[in-house]
Amino acid sequence: MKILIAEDEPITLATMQFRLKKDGHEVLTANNGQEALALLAEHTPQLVITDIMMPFASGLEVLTYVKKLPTPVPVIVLSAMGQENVVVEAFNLGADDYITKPFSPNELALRVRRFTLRAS
Amino acid sequence: MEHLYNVFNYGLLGYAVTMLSCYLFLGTLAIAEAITYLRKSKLTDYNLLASSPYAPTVSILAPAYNEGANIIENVRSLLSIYYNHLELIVINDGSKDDSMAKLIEAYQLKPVQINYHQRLKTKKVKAVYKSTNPVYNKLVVIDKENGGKADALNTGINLASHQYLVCIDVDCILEQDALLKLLKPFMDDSDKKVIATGGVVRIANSCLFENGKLVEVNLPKQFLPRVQALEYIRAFLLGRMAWSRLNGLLLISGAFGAFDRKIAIEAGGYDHSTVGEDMELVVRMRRYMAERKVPYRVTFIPDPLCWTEAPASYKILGRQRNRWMRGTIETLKMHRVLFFNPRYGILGMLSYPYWFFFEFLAPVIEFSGLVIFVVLAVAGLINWPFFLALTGFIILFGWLFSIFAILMEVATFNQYKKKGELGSLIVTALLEPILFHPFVVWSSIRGIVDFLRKRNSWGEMTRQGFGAPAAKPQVKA
Amino acid sequence: MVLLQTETLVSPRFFYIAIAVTSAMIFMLVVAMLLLLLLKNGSTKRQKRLQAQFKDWLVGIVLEETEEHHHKFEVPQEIKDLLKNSFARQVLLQELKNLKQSLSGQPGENLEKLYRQLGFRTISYNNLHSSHWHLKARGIQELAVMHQTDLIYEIIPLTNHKHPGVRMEAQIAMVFLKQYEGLQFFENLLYPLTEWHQVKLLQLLASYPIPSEETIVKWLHSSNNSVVQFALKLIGEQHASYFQEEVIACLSHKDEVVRRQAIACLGEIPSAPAATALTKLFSHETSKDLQMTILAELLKTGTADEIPFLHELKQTEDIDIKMAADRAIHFLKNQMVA
Repeated sequence: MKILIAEDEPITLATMQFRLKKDGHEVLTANNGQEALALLAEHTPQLVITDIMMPFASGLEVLTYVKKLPTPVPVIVLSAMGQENVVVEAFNLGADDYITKPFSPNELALRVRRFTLRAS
Repeated sequence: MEHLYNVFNYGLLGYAVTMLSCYLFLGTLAIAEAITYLRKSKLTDYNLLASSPYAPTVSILAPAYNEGANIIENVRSLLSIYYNHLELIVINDGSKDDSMAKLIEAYQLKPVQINYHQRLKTKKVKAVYKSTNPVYNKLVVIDKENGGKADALNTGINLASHQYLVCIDVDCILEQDALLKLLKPFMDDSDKKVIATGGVVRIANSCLFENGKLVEVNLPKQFLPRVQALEYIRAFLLGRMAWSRLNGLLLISGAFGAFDRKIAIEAGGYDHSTVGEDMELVVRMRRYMAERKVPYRVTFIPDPLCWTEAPASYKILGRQRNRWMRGTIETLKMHRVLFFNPRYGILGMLSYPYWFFFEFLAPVIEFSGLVIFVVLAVAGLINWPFFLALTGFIILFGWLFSIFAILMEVATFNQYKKKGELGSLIVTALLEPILFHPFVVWSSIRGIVDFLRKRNSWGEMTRQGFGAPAAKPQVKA
Repeated sequence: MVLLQTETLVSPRFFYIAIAVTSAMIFMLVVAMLLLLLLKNGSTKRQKRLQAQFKDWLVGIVLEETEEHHHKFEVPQEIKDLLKNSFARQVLLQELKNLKQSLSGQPGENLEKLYRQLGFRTISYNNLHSSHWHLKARGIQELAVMHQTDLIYEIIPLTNHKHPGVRMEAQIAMVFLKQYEGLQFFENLLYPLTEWHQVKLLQLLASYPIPSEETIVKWLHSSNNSVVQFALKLIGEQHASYFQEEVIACLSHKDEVVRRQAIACLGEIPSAPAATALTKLFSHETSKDLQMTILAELLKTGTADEIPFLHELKQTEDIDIKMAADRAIHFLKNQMVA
């Protein structure tokens, strides 16, 4: 599956990329919201994983953008903000899953697998 | 004549020495404040505020007059700010263009019935709109009769329902974390109530924007915006920083500042009768607190948070400076009771006199100095070696101060790090006393003359609105 | 001919000296600026390069699955060489801290282990004992993020440190490491907690339910008003309605800030007694501001029973109160229909 990950902490990003590649996914990476939006204009990933607090464009903007695409794809929001109101807002905007930081890469991989199964 | 000459010499010398010592003093304070701020900031996770249910609630007030060309984009940029307890109030101040129609269409607005208490008297509100699209649930648009910037802001204050007001020019571009940083000081107070926080305004000319966001900082390519970039660095990084350390800030930029709503209302809101409404409100709020003997603070955040286009022509710049000078005089006149009044503490003993002598009187003294110089020169009374040495020293000191400001910028936020930008900034600083400063002095003098002639240009302002090119941008450095 | 007296004082020679001094200063500042710029650009570049050099190695360590307790991570020679430099160590430490804040589970444990193995704990520990407040605060932050719980006894006394930056980090560290138990420092807290600080602590506790009623009740009776305020916020956030009576008791607290918080808290734990208590408080309350807060909270906690009281209020002179009462009546009536 083709996955886009947007995350501003480079090594966290690399960790996720490495972990998901191990499961046989193709991974695109963006270091900030702006890059993610640019990648989305060119590529059509089947799943998007995004942090909320990133420079230039927030993850919620990425989420909104994805959900407005002609063929919206699932979005997993990944954030250090675990408060109820943020989670609710993310789901209201169409998020398919919400993972609170700190998170375990293995858990992320398992959640991604759910979407893989659904897609196939 | 000899006597006149001596008075002239000694007076000027005394004034210069006082001013120079003030500058040195402010410079030292600015360094101390910058170090404290950066150390604190490094330990702080500002994102905390974006999501906490106990974060302060904020109403952004963005007045607009004939901004139709960019209004949709500007509002979209403001709406993209991520902050939980936010309402964005756009006030259409009776624009004559299609701003309102554009807004209604782009944001799917519908008029709503809102009962509110008109605490501050304003021009009539035609309608209040909200979006039917839940994505824009933070947006409120007020359509009102034209009344000028202060009136538009007051209307916004009346309708605002949140604890803090952030007043902003609609065409400003904010950094992602601008609100978080601007609001933190309000939550840091324990013994002194924070009544207002000022943000930094930077010059956006030549910078690169994408989707309403700043993606690349560039030093302005044209001379006038570039010299203003330098001026702003000096004013914000040295001036405001130092005054903030002394808790003596008098001015919060109208383009980006936050206020405690209740205190702003109790103090009476923005004053329609001055063109310097941003400065006047801060002074009045400070007076309000001091007169009630409540300990308070006005704080300042030095990070570059707000970017705005600076005037690129002498004509528009001249009008802007003319207006600033009038605003300064009006504010100083309205609050003359503060002058060396110990009852008001720093505000009366330091801030007000400083503004009086060095912001208001400086152009007067420089200008009359020039006139007297010409008179003396014609009379053949000039001691040339002395005169040249004095002039040289004053210019050098100005350079020193500018260079010091650039050094502070490099040491702190270092926004202009591309090759050649720093050199260009230094050259600009060297050219400033010849190509820019005399023009500013001249515009200020014209402002004083306009003030004295009572051509209080308010009538003109109401007709023109504040968003007309003449009055843009509403930034005071 | 002129300036006979002034000549000595303000002779051009005096200015020549001043000009020379100023010029020298300008020159020095320009040099300092260039040096600083080189230094800054250099260190940003170096940091980027180091991050790239550490990247693959760190990802490997983070994802390493190991059962063994005394296992040591392999540090390749080139990384060892890099780490001889203190700047590189700083960069890596910062990186570990960032990673630790975003990764949990096995990767989190691995990061902790690596932190100790590389001797970074000593760096943090020395920072903790520094005489500079910002280093002290940084040291505390590092130790907390890295879960060095055994050093907690060194952090406790710092919760009353005279520098706000230090005591704040120390208090955050306590709650980060021990959650509610960490709040033991409330008992002899000498300084008020700022709003910011309260928000931070609440965030740390957000996913943990209140463990014992006793401690919360103790805080509600604290002589430190900000502790009372914090406890009320906590009760409100967790909708812990079993504290209702204690919260109502706080309505008669002498501090206005506490009263306001108690009013807001009752809005989060709606009940009939709360609404009655609020209406009763309304007539005693001298601050109009608090009266307005009461009316706002009545929207959340009130029922039809409050409508007569609100109708009475509509007779007052004050427009704000009139309008707020009107709004409340309107809202409560609609709620009844729904």
